[in-house]
Amino acid sequence: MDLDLDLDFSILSSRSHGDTADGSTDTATRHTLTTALFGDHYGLLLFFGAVTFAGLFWHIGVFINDNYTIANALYNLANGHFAVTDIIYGPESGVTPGMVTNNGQRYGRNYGQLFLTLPVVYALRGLTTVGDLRIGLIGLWCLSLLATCYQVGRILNRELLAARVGAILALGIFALNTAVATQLDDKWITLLALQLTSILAAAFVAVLTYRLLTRIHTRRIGLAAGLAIVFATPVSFWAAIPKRHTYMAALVLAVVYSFYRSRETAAATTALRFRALAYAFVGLATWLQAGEALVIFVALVAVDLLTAESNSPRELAVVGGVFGLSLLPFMLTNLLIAGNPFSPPLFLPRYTGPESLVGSPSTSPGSSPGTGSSAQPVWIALLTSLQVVANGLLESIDQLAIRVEGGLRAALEPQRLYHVFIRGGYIEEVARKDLGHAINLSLLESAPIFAALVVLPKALYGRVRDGVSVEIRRLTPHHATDVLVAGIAVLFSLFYLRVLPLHVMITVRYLLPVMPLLLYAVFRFRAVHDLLTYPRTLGIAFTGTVCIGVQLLVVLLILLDTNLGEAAQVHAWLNLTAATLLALWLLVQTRLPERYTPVGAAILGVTAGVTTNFLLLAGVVYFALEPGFVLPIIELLSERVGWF
Amino acid sequence: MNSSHRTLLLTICCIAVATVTSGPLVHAVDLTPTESEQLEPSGLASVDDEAGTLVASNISIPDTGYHLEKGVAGSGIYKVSFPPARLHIESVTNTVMLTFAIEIPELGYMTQGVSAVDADSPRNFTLGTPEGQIEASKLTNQSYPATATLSVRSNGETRTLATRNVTIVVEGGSQ
Repeated sequence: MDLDLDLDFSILSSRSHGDTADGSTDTATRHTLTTALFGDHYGLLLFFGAVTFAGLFWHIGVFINDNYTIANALYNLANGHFAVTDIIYGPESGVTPGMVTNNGQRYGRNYGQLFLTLPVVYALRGLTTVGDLRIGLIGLWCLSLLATCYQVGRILNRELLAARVGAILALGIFALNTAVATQLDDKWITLLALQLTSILAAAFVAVLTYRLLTRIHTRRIGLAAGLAIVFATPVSFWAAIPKRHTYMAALVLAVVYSFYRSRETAAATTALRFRALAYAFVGLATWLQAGEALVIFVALVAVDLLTAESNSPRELAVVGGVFGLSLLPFMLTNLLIAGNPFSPPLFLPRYTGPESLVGSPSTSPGSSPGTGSSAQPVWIALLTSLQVVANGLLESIDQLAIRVEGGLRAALEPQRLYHVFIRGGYIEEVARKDLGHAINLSLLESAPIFAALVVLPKALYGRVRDGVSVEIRRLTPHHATDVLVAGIAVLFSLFYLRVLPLHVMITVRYLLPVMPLLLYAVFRFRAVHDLLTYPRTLGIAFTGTVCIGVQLLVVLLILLDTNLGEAAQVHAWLNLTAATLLALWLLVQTRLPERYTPVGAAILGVTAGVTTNFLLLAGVVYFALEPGFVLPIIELLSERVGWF
Repeated sequence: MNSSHRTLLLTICCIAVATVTSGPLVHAVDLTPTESEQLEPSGLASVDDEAGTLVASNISIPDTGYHLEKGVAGSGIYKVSFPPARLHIESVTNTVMLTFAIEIPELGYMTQGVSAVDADSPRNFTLGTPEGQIEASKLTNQSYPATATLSVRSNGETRTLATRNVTIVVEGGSQ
């Protein structure tokens, strides 16, 4: 019998639609906050589950050398200054990718990510004043595991049993890890904090995907999509690597979710609130990476203005006002660092050593060119400032235009498209920078579940045939959201296509924020919904592929005596095989009797499973770093299994 | 507070107590000892130690068995598979460094295995080369001439014990 995943939690489901129980108690406040962030118990389950899974690969150390830049910048920010004066990670010279210079000082980048992480740095510093850092982090992971178990219990109405089983598991694993734990140096705190917020952001990607698709379709579909984010896309792999990608993926989904909510509701005030919220998330995204945020902004503005029921001056003023406010952190940061609110650190000269320092430290940060002269009339200073701001804006737009134009030209190169989206393989100029290893998977190899997009043309044709309006102003909330998702996905891909394929992409990480959007598309198809009606078959196929498959893979890779590049290619071929099977199945599914549908569900389970196998082996074995893992048991496992 | 909440709270308390007990404030017990310093592997003696002498016999560099094996499809590489050199150590004083190097001039490729030898080393000594790889696109021939050299370094001087011209065979054909 299939598990009924659509259990009715009337109280929670009603809350998930924005209502809360009356009363002014703390419980009500807590519930409101929980609802706002996670939606319901399923959202919480996904959140803690995602954190627990990503925590397995929580390694200590620097994975990509531009992590040095943001880690050093955060360390200095936590000590009270924007300028990177102290270098605690990487080369003492501070010459690392992304380090820029202005005012005779060094600066980092992605300040939104840094400010978001700041409280976590202080929390971890606080932890080390009273407790042991390693034990505290092991404890955090074990509590996340306990929370995951408890949420399962709440959903199945077995709270006490789940709490007890979870407690035994959590304490048992805590004891095992503690027994082999070694001291974790405090110097890692800043990096660990960055990893922690990245893990949380990745978990929110799953939660938001779940909430969006639950609203559009059913909880079953939403939950399947949320689980797919965790286990069937590379989001979990990048969770513990403090790049910008997981944050941006979460923000992109927050934009899409807010946009859908603004279209879904009949209440004008709620619609306006969510419409403004979508822009506010774009504003926050600029603080993270201005170029990517601009891409999202362009797609959002175009789709929003064209599909909105009303674009009255009052509504546009509210939306514009909120967007302007959300840009304040970005502009203030730029003003303090570059002296121009619209010139992000990315535009500043690269720091290549003491000789490359631009400007003089005596120039106070934030002073823009031309404003220092006391003899200058105020209006001239004002005009100069405006000119500087306009230049910053124009430069941003110019950069976007160049990237998109380059992307459009790149989109006409079949071989490039083939390598980026279908088959990575060995590309000499890329592999040369990866120590000769073909470690970069294509988009499809990274997440073979995207093979389900093969039914997109058929689905589009079906909509037209069924008389669904294609007139942009009359689109339903679902279809308007589809257009937004397509707009962001296409523009984002064009933005990066020019530089792809590239070294150290592993799973085309530049397109990580696009992946949840593609997964959204996958779970919009009726053909995929049909497969989800057999959750037991799907679950067994997935669990079998992971539990048995990962062991078989380890044996195979050891027998083949593979190196890193070869191991990646073994995964690539397996994933492509699963992708091909899934695509073929979805193409013929409608011509087969319904009794064969469980076969398709099993193929979907296997497709997700082979991706999980890659996540597990890549996270624990292939890309293990020298200082080890936060969880000592994983470190031991990595040492035992590692054959490279 | 119901039973499940009590269970959760108890678990949280256990973890919190363990964290604080091992922390700087209480420090009742050290649950996270500092990792012991890694001893330098015996095979990696420092140059300063190379002040010994070596007398060896039955020095053997294989004539055949040098292959470039095709990697997993799509990996774009051939992996080197070379047999090890062997020798019998008659006597050794202090420490010397043994090197077994294989050079393929046509490919601009060289690999070498290095090992320290002292009185504790086994009498019948085997020295191989580390795993390596060559880009498939570089390989145009079915075989390549190479030189295998076994040498010993002592007192700042390198003495060749044996050298042999060998043929590296590209298995499965070059691309």
